[in-house]
Amino acid sequence: MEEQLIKTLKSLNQIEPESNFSTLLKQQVFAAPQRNSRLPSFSRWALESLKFAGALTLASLLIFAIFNGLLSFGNGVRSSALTSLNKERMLAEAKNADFEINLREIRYYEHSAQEVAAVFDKVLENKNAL
Amino acid sequence: MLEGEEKLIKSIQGGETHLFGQLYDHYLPKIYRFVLLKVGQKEESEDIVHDVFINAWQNLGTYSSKGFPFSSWLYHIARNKVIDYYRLKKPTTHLEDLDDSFVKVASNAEKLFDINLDLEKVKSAIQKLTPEQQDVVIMKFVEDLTHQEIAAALNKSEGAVRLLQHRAINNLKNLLTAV
Repeated sequence: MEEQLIKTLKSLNQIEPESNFSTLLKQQVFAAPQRNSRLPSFSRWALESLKFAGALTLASLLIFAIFNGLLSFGNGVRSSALTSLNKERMLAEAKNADFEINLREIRYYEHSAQEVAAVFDKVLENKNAL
Repeated sequence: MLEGEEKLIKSIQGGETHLFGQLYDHYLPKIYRFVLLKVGQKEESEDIVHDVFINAWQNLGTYSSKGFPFSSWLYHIARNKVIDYYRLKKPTTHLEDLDDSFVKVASNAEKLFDINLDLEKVKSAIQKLTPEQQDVVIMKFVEDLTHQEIAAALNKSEGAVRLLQHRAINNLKNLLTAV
């Protein structure tokens, strides 16, 4: 059955358009204006090149963007290292400040100790006098 | 596929428009059969074929093969025109009222082959298939296109085309045995 069916289908290949129709349509086709003027081969080549150049530019921009991104990420790492250096400097300054404060405290204690000793001497003198 | 087709198309695109006649002569009968077997009415089919070739002529400048034959592009246009035809106008003529000339042309074919199957029944059965199954049956068995060419014309994979072909043949067999 399948063989017969395929044979029948192949026989449909004998269907042809009427010759009057073929001739008339051919004339109409050639008389019809072409919507898109045929591009000469040079123009088509130029168009294709333009497309390629566009694709290449886009790819370059993408690579540039990725490269810049990576570079700025690297810079970020470096700047964070500088910040840590500043911190160390700041810590050193803070330590110096502590040292100065300690000196002031020592001077204050020396001065106050002398005053206290003088007060004690006076108290002892008063006691002896009594 | 027409011999030296790609070169021919490039020449036409380059300005040698008179060469379009060669493409027209080669493809007109194929496109005509394709449309007629799908639509079933001679005058309507002629109108659609007219639109197909005018469209192809007007847009040939934008055609590029991309590895597919010109026929795929042409069948693609024909398919879309048939879809437009059915979308715009619901057919009112029944399959039994097929144009006389259509039957006459087909009867010539019947004489050429000694076959038991009724040609008219086969044509009617084809029109009862889904549009995609019709496309595959006509392109594969009537026009003898390769699966690759059919796949390109229908914008489907070769596997999908083979599946459609298998289903179409089964459906045709069922329709013909049911009649």
